Amino acid sequence: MNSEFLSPVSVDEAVSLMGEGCAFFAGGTETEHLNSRVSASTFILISGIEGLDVIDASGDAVRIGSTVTFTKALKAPEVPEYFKAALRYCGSLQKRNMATIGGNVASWRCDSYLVPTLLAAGTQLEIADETGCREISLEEYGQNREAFKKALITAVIIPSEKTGVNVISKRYANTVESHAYLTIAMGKMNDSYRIGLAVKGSGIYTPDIKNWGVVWKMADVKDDMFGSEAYKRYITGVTLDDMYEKLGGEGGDQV
Amino acid sequence: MKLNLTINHIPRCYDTDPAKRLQEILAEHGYNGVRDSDDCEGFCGSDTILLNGEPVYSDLIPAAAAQGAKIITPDGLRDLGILAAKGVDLTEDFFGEGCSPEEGRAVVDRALLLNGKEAGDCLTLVQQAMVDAGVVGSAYNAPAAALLLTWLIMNDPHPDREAIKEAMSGIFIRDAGYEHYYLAVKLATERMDSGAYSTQPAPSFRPNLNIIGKLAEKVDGPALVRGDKVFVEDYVPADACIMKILRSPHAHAYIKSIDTSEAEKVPGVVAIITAANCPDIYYMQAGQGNPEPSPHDRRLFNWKVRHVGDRVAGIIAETEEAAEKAKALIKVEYEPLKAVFTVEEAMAEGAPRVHNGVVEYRAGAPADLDEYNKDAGDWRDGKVVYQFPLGADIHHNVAAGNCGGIGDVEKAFAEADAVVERTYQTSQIQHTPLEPHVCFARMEGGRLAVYASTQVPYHVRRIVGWVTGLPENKIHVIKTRVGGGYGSKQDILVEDVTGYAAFLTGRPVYYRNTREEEFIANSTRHPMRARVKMSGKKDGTITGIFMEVRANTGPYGNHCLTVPMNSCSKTLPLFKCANMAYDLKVLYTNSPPAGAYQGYGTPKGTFGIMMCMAELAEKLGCDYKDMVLKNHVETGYMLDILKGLGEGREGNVVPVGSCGLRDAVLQGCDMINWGVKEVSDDPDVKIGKGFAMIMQGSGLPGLDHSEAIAKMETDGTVILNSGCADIGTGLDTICAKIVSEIMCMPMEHVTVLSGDTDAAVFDTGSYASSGTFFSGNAAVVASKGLKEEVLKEAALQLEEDKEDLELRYPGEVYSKKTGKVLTYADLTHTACSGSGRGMMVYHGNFVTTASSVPYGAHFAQVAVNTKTGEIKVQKFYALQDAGTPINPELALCQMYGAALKSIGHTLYEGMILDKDGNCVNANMTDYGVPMIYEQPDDFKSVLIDVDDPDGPFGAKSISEIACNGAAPAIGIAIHDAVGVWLEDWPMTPEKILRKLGKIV
Repeated sequence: MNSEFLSPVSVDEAVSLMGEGCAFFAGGTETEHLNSRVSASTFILISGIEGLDVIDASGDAVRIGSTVTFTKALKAPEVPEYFKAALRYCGSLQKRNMATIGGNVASWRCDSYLVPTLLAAGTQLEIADETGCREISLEEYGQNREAFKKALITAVIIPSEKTGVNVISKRYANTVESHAYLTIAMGKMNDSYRIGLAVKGSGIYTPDIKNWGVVWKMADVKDDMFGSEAYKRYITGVTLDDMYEKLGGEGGDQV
Repeated sequence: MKLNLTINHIPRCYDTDPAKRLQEILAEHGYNGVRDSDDCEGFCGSDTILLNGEPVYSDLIPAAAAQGAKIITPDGLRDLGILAAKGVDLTEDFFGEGCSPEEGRAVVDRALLLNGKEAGDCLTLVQQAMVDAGVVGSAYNAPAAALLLTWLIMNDPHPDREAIKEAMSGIFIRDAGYEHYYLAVKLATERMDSGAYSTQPAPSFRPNLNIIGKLAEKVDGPALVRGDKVFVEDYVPADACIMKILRSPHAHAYIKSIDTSEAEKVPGVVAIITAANCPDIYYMQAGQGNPEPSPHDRRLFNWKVRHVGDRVAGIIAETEEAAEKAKALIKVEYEPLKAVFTVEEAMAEGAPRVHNGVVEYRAGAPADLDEYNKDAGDWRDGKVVYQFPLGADIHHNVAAGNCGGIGDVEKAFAEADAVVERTYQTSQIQHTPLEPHVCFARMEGGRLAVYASTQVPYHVRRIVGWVTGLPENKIHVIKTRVGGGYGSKQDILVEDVTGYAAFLTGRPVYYRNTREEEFIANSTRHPMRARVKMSGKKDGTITGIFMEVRANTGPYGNHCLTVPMNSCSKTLPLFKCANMAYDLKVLYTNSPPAGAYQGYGTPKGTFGIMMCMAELAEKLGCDYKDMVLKNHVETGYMLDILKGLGEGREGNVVPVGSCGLRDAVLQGCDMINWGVKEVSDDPDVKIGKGFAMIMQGSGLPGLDHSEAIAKMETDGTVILNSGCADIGTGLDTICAKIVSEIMCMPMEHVTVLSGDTDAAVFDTGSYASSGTFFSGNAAVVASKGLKEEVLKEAALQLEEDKEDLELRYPGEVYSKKTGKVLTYADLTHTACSGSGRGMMVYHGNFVTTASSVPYGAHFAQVAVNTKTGEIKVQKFYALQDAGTPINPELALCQMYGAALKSIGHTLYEGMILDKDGNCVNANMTDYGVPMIYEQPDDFKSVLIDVDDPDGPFGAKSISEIACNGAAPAIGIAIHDAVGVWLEDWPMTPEKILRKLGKIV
């Protein structure tokens, strides 16, 4: 309560309104949720900004505007099936109608529906801040969250299926509606493999496959209500092995 | 801000805070189909609306984000149907501006078609189909579900199963499961297309009867599915005070001091109740027969807190904000104590005592009680008062205990060909009713009125009477519709303090649990450890069974004897075995409170005993099915084991009555192709099958008591004033059908007034599967009595012999001798005229020592991934002998709901405490209830046709028993699939992997 809500009509205006105590507001599933991590005295409503809810396929990429809802993306023929698989991890119709692509990325949750798949696909983000608009990799965004905290994600740009990209993902949760304790994705493009991994209570990991072992060994994986560290490490290993094999990788224990 | 909306086709403008949630705004303005079940968790879907044509959670939308929206609320559907019938174009309301499909108007009009009934019975076809399919049970979410299905049919006129699954994916249904929602869509679309159903919603029973066992509209179905004002929250006036409870952060602590002075200064604070000023009255919260087999071990507020979430103070204020502010200003100094959370910790030598006060007995005090009490601790421990001995020893944290048996189990074990001994553990389970525990109370004309969502109105009255000191004639309990209970509303968890607060302040007081409070400060299913030892001969004969049960009752002893007792009394009598013994102990701990839960202790006992039997069968080299068929009881078998298994008194030894157990086993085995090994296409996935025998009771013979008064009104209609408490199961409908059947009159001429302690007569309430059997039989007695009164009066008026008269449909007396006809209207009009003999009334009272036991068998087929440990229930078949199913469609839905719930308990659910006793998953998302995606793809409920001699028209209970089979059926199926025995709930992938040796 007692929050102010602003309704900019353009990206520039939205970015100019961003300041201390402000937060962008799109679908509401993160900001209004019980025990939300988002608190702000001013919310900047971005759902009314023209152009942010557009899906556009051109060349080898599909550009999905940040206020596109999960439902809209699921219905769009341009959106690759590997990304739709991640969108379906959000098991509730009502949530899919509300949650936005940009909101899910920006919240960078360790039980994120989308981020592991987007990382494995080599996604680019289009962002806007006081310095203007530009493209960055999703990986960079994840590694420098503090630097981008005032930036507005305007679109995610993912490789289309025409590029030959192949992404497999799997979500482990108690029930479909429960928070995921592990979301694992592996992507292959041009004989190059990428992993995206979200571990509840631990974080999001973005290694390429060559340094995966080191990264995973250092990862802070805990025993918690979702399962033991041993279980989570085991299940991650067998899932990645399985994905690697399905993507045509050779040598079952490489992952 | 000025918030402009179009709601249900009508433009509205509200002056509101832009941050205020849309759900609150809508509810405040009378859109009472927009409810809240999850405190903005975005989970349950009670807050579902259509916003610009899309289903969304209105809890997660601030006013500012809804400006200019077109909204449809669940409670608006019927009226919109009426508008559409009048030719109003609602396309934009349902699809949003400029988003209508080409045939938009036609699909909207089709999906809003009405059932053709008038006024209060007018529903849309979707709503009507939900009632007819039997899914409108406790129905807190039924209006929202109707909205979702309407939206679905508008967007997909003939949706397939996957489309329905997706439409229902964001709504939690705990009462009926989801299976008959598929049926509801089928029925609705059939009627939209052809004007009539071509599918029969449920089988029909008893062709010799007109109404019993046939499909008929649930009497409260229309109001519930439409979203009428029927729940406690709907009775709360705007001027009601709000009560909030300050709860303990410690699992075990004395309160050294409590300072409310600053809190009392907050403007709007009316009163604060604490241990320092509450009545010094010890009582318990279990809604059971009086004297209760539960200790009186608490006051409204205690000087010792015994679990995280225990009550510390009740703040009554004119606004929620004032109550919260005052709550934060209360200063409490605690003296923390070492806590115990498990039965093992509670039983350990030198364990901290959860209760360490003086023990008293109202009857049967042991001779050494004074000596025992010399060891009592601090005065702040209070006291524990037993109504009669329950085998307690609170110095060792034993709240109750019992042991006994028949034959000689040790000899049986010694002489057996094989013996299996295993220990099974079950987790702490929350009921998760969609409507949380809620109460509204106020003084009305010098009497205390309590609006309660309860299973036990008369027990509420008694216990509120205790804590207020008011006699029962000064208390009026009004049971509203109950938005889900499942046993938790058998306990008086909020009515005690709310009633007292209204009595103390003279102000109307409203209290509602948060969802977190539902987990930490409510009742739950007892965590239980059951050690089962079973022996057998090579021919498959079971020769001995021993059950050692150690149950965790938490800090207070609600149902502490009866719940664990059921783990033996509703399992051992399944077996024809001459040597059986049991040893029960119930332990006080500092974990969240336990209490009644659908099935009582039976699901846990059934889990242990059936799993142990399956392992014994394997050890003996017997086929499990053959072993079941060889050892199960049959009609006439004398159940000597029951002698020691009463509920605090000697049990009734009776022979097995009607019994459909064998039929259920054989039919289920055929359905699931028992003995045929299924093979998955995925080499990592192994498939297995399992089943379990199950039983329950139909109330408590010798303890339960039901009454009803049937009276014929002056126009020939009948009102039944029943003490019964319909908690959504259709009990009012059962009573109405019974009256109609016996009185040969249409159901619409019968009204059942129930659950109101002023308007009805005593009934122990709806628990222990007593509703149909006890309250239904009371309706039978009352109706038969009224029939006699009618025949006697008609004989006088017609001047004929009563023996020559009979009742005839649709409500008349017919003379077989003279052919004369006297309608009920004429008959009663004359009787109530100035010269008549008065209204025809009969007061029916039903008690019995007869026991109508429902039986059944539940079957599961599971697929287990040996690489990941993931478990998928592919098939689940619930086959039950419920006697005569009086409401067949509702009976099936109760079976689906309970079975899905118990699948949830088996695989997903369990409260998890940290080392300090904090529940770390006290929310719906983390706790893990099953929703539509968890429902087995092939899910069937089958009613085994048995006519019971003691039940009303042959009926037995239906619902509780359906909680008993899933755990053992799934556990046995997992073993069949991958060869491991899982001995504890929930059965998780990690536990599978550990058993398989994949994780060390």
